[in-house]
Amino acid sequence: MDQQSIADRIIEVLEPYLGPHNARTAVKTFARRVFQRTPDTLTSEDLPALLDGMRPMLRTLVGEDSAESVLEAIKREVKA
Amino acid sequence: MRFRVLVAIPLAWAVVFIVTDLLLQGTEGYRIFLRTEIELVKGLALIGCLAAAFSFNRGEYLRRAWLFMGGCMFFLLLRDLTMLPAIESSIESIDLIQGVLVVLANASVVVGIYMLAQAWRVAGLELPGTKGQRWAGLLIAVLLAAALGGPGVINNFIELVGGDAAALTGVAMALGDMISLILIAPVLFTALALRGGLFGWPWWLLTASLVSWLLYDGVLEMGPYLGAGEQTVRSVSEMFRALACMFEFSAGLGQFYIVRRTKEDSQA
Repeated sequence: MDQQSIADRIIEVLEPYLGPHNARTAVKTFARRVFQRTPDTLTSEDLPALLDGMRPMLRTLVGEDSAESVLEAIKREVKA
Repeated sequence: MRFRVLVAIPLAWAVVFIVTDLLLQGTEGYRIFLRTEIELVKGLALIGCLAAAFSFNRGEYLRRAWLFMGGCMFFLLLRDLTMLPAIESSIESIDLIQGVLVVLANASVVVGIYMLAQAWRVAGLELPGTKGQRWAGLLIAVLLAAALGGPGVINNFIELVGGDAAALTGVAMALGDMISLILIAPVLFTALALRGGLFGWPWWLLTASLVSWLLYDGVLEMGPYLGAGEQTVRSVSEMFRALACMFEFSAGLGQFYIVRRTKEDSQA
């Protein structure tokens, strides 16, 4: 339950930026790409590596500074 | 800034253009009005692209893409400058210079739109729909582009081969238009992938700009065959040119705003 909520929390932060479709797809894609796992298996220990995997995507879309801000927001949301 | 404003600005501009165009038709000031309006929308499109480009850091992917987009308007404005009587009459090989500037403008916009259309791939996003649906979308765009841009490419190429150097401008414009129109499909799919999200807005506005260019070409190509008079074709096509440039301006401003707002929102 707790593991599921980590993926949901990340999706919640990304949704206003990427839209519901891509927020969900991005978490699914990067969970698979980085860990070869499904989003529901993500734990808080996976967060740093997952965010590293997502960094190039966000940098491409909004540049380095804004990407770092979004990644920080995800970290805050998951830790809350 | 609300994104609806960025949609409303080009539409409001088009309405004002059509009303002013109708009022000034046949007057001495009409030519000046038209020329000024054309240069103004190109200038605004350039400003939008530069605002978008410089919201990114040096070397970042979308900074390069927006600089290429702006490069088109920069070269076109430079070409228009060479059309001033004082400059045009003082340079012997002006046709060639103008042709080269148009080639550079079209090459620049093709690279820019291609980069924006490929941003989803570079970012590692997934497009919506099946592969078949995406190929169907691309095929429709190719057919529309060939129907509207193809005759222009062939006619100008024949003239160029026949020794008319000025036809180089026509070939470059028609070819650039054709390729840009084909790229409507991937730009639209990127917008669809990001639908409902802040990051999708520049792609929606860019799609609107490309569709306006499609209609601009459509009116110029099909208008006379549909019985429209020369003045009607000119006015309607210029309205679509204004829409295309103003939607590009809005797309650039939207991109600038998104980069800034994302940074501020996330820090809050």
